[in-house]
Amino acid sequence: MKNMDDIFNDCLERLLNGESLESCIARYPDQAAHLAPILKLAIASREAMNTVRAPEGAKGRALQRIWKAGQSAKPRGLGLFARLRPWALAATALLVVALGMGTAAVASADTAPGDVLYPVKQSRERLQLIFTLPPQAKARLYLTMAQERAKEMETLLERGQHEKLEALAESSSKHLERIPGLFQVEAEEVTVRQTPVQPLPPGLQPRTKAEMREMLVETAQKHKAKMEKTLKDAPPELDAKTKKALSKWDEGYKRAIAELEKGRQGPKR
Amino acid sequence: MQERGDEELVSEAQRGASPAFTTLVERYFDRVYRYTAMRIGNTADAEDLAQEVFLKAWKAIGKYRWTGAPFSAWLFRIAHNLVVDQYRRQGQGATVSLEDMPQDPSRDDVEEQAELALSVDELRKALPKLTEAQRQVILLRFGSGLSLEETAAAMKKKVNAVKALQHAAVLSLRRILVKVSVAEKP
Repeated sequence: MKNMDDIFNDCLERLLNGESLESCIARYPDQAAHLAPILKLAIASREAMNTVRAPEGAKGRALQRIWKAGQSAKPRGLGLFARLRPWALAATALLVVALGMGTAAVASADTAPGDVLYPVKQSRERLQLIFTLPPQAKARLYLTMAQERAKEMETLLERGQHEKLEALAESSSKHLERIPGLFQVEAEEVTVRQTPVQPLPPGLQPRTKAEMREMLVETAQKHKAKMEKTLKDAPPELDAKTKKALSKWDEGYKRAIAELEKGRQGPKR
Repeated sequence: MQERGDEELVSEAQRGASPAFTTLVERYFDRVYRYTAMRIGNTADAEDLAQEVFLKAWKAIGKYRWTGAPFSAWLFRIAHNLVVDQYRRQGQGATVSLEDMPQDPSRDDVEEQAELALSVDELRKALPKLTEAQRQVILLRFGSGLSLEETAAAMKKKVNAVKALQHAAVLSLRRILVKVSVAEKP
């Protein structure tokens, strides 16, 4: 047999689901006198509190505060990103949030330096950095950004536009040098000894330095092979400069991999 | 399009996806605000506290583990802790003043509005006379619209205990309101 707490809750749930008070009470005729006034009061309380609404724009202000808090934790020295005007960032933030990383961001995904939508891509990356707080997620994001720089280098090599390669290589190295510091030494050393490294599905964030290192090695190999293949067809007069850019790019990976192997923390944000 | 579940959104937010967290803010802000407003009082403090709840949630989202307790329960636990901190700062005698709170503009019937406004007023006077647990259950169940299970998780209590609390809370509320009503009669 149901006790009064259960009966009250049963009637309440029915009322909340749209059943009438009379119909609910009819199920428990012996308890009707007890139930009717308190059910009415429960519903009246609910309706009264439902009239309390957040002031206009409150949600937007909350999101802005979260955004600002994320911004204060951003890494310094972001090169190209740091030079973007605050109003441009704010506008892009609104655009991207409003569209759920929508049209403009998607359209800009495959752009390279010099393309009209390339600044949108840069703003999107900066926004992602601001909002990404967990260290492993941030490390994964830096790697994704480095992978993007590699793809852009490949695009420019294919287009025969070699002049911006070195800047992209430097940018890639800056992303990569942030990664080792985002993993804690103690936790990592224990995990590395105990856990065999498994290849991770794309997009999954690394949990340990060893997993991160594997991802870096794999990424470096993949892009290096592709770029060297493209480089074979490059005009001879551009060969030396392009090779220098490629070497810089390669060095960035080597340094980050070495840092992760050492178990030392890299530069702090 | 089907609405995405909290679990999926939280999981994306943990991987650093801000649009997923934005959706969670959109989904819960009004309910959290209602909770802080009923507990704290004036609109500015209530809004500030509601913002604080989401800021804390965003910072701690990486630590959140899906172990049966829903996200809503976790969020309202943060809200409760912040309210308690606020009480400590202001002292226990903090009063609730809802006079300047925005009311639902869709309710344009003057008599109904007056009746409901009176109910909010009665509630704000009666709530401090309930026990803390009773007040919590009234606000979470009827103010923020949490299910019995969500309320239980937010209060770290068993579902049956919340059922009993809910029943007792409404009975107490009725006794308080009847007393007030008798006392106020000319």
